Amino acid sequence: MRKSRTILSILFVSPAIIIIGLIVIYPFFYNIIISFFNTDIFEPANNYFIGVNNYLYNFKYGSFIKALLNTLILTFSSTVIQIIIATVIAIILNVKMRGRGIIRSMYLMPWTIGAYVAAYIIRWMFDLNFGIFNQLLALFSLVEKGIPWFTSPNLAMLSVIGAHVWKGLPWSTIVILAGLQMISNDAIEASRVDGANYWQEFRYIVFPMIRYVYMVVFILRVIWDFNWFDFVWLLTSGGPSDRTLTLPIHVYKTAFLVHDAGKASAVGVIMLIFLIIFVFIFLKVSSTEGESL
Amino acid sequence: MKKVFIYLTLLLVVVSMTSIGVGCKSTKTTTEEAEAVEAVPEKVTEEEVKKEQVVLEIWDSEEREPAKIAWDYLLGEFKKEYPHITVEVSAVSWGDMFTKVEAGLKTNTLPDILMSWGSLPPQFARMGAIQSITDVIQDIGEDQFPASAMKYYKYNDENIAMPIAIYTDVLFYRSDIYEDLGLEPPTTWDEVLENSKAIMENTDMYGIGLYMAAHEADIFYGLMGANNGAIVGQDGESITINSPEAVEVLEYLKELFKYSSTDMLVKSAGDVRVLVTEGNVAQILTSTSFCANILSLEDTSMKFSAVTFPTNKGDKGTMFNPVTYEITSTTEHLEEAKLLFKFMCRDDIALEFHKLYIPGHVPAIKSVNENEEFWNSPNVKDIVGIIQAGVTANEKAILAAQELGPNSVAGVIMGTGVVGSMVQKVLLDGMDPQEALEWCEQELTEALK
Repeated sequence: MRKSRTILSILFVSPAIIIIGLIVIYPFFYNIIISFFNTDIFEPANNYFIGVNNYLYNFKYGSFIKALLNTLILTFSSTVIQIIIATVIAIILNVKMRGRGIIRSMYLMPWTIGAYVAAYIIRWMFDLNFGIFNQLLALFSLVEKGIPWFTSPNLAMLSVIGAHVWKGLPWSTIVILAGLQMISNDAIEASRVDGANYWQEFRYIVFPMIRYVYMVVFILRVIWDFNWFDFVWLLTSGGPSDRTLTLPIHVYKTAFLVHDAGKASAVGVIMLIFLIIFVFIFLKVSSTEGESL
Repeated sequence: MKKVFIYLTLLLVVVSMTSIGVGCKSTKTTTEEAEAVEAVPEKVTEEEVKKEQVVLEIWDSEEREPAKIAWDYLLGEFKKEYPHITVEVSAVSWGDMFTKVEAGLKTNTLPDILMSWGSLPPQFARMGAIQSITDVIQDIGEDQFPASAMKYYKYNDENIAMPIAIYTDVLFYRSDIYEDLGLEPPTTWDEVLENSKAIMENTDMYGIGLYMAAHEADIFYGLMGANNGAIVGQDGESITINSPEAVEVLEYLKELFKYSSTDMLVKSAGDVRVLVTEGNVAQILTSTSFCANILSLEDTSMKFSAVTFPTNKGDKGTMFNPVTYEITSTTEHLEEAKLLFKFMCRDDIALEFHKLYIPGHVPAIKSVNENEEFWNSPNVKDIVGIIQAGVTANEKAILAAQELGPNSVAGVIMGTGVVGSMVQKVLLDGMDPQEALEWCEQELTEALK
C-alpha cells in the first residue's frame, strides 16, 4: 500500500519534473558549459573550448566591473530603503482606521502596474522638458529650470534607485504587514505598561518577533533586484555613460547585441555564484537557535 | 525500483506519442474545405489552374499603416498576375528579426522571403540564412539601384539583397526660424555651428538636437563618414577608430553640444524628435523617416525643410539605412520568390507602391525617382525638398561603421554600444577625446576577438 502510494506520487510529479528538467535544468547546465567556450553564432561549428578566458575577459575588459558595482549599489540601496519605508508604512497600515482596506488596495497599485508601463510613465513624468514633476517644482519656484533626473550622470542612479523603491515597496510592505499582524497584542501592551516608547517597542518586541520575515524580505529583494533587467533597461538602458549599467543589462547586451553567448554566460555564472555566496553568508550570520529559515 | 522505472518509461512514451499526434497536421479536409481549395477564379486560364498552388511567406518588420496599404496594393496586383501564388506577410518586430532568423535557420522554419535593413543582410548571408539573387538583380538592372547601397549587399561577389526604400540621414531645420533669423542652409560644418549658435542666442530653442544613446550613435557614425574617417580598416576586421579624423569629429561634437543639452544626449532619436516637433529644438540630424512626424503635426506654423549634411573631408556623407528584401536559403519556392522580386521593381507597380509607401522614404529604384508622378503624389508633394535632399545624400551615404565598404564586424561594433558610451564619456564626463578613442579602440578590439 505504502509502495503503491509512493509510485503514484512519483507518477503525478513526473510531468512537472520532466518539464522543469527541459526548460530549467538543461539550460542551466548548458549555460555553465558554454561559458567555457568561444561562441560564434554565425558559424556554431567553430565554437571551441577556451577554459576560463571568458571569465578573465570580464574582469579585465568590458563593462563588467562597472556593471557589478552599479548592481551592488542599486540592489542594496533600494532593498534597505524599501525595508525601512515598508516598515513605517506597514505599521501605519496595521493601525485600525476607517478605509484601511481601500488604502491597502490602492497602495498595491505600483506593484500591479507592468514594468513597461511604469517605466514609460516615470520617464515622462520626470522628463526635463515635459515632466509634470519638474513643472510642479518650477511652479512653486523650487527650481529655476528642470532637473534631468534620469539623464544626468550624477542623478541617474539615484533616480533609478527611487524608481526601484517605488515599484517594489508594495510587496515588501504587504509581507511585513502580514508579519506584524501575527504579533500578539499582549506583548505590546505589556511593553507600553512598562513605559516603552514606540522605538523601544519596535526594537525590543516587534522586530525580534518578526525577524525571520525581514530575513525573507531582505533575501528575496536582493535576489530579485540583483537580477532585475527590464525596469532599468526601460528607464535608462544602462546610461547615461554607463552610470546605471547593471549586470542583467550587461548580460543582455553581450548575448543579444554583441552576440557573444560565451561571455554572457560567464557573467551569468558569476552572478549565480555571487548570489549563492550572499545567501549562504547571510543565513549563517543571521541564524539563531530556533529561528533559522 | 524496477516497477518505478517501468512506470516512468511508460509515462514518457505516452507523453511523447501524444505530442507527436498533436503535432502532426491532419491532411483530411471536409468536403467544403476541399471545394474551397480547388475553386479557381473564373478568368484564369487552364494553364494557371494546372500550376501548383504556392504560398510564399514573408517576414516583415514594417507595420505602419502606409506600408500595409502599399503591400496590399502590390500583393493584390501580384495575385491577379500570378493567381497560383499567395503571399502571406507575417509581422516580426524590428528587435526580434535577428533572433528569429537565427532560430528559424536552426529549426528549418525560415520563411521564403525576409525583410531586413542596414547591415543585417551580410550577417544573414554569413549565417547561411539567405541566398544569391544576382540573376534577379541583373534582370532588373543593377543600375536601377544606388551604387552606394548595392556595394553593401554583396557576399562572395553575389548580390544577396534588394533595396526597396532608403531612409537617409539629413539635417532637418525649421525653415520659418531660418527665415526669421536670416539664416541660409549650411554647406559646411562651421555653418552648422554658426546657425545653431544663432538659433540658441536669438530664440528660446536649442540650436540642435544631439542624441547619442549608447546603442544609437548614428550621429557619430555619420560624422565619421562625412569627415573621411573609418571605424574599421580596409581589411574589414581591424579597428581604426583611433585616428585624427575621429578626434576632429569628437572636438566638433563638443562644439555642437554647446547648442544642445545633456538630457537630449542620452535620449533616443524618437524622443528627441518629439522635442523638435514640440518646438524645443530647431535642427536635428536624423533620417528622412522623420517626415512622418512632420506630416502629422497639427501646428502648421512650424515649417520644416532639410539639407544634406555637409561633407567636411573626403567624398563620403552621413548614414543611410536601406530597407531590403532577401530570399532565404531554405525556400522551396525559389522561382516564385524571384517572380515577386521582379514584379516589385516593374515600373508601373513600383511607382504605385512607392506613392503609397511610408512618407519620408527615398525609393531605391531609379525609375520611380525619375518619375514626376511620384514627386507629385500626395505623400510626397509636401516634402519634396526633404526627399530630394535624401536622394542627393544617398549618392555618398555610408552604413554605420562601414565607411570603407562592407565588413562583417559592423553589427557587433554597433551592438557593443561602446562607440555611444565613448561619445558620452567625452561630452558628459569631459574625457579627453584621444584618451576616449584609445579606450574605445581597446574595447572594440577585445570584443571582436
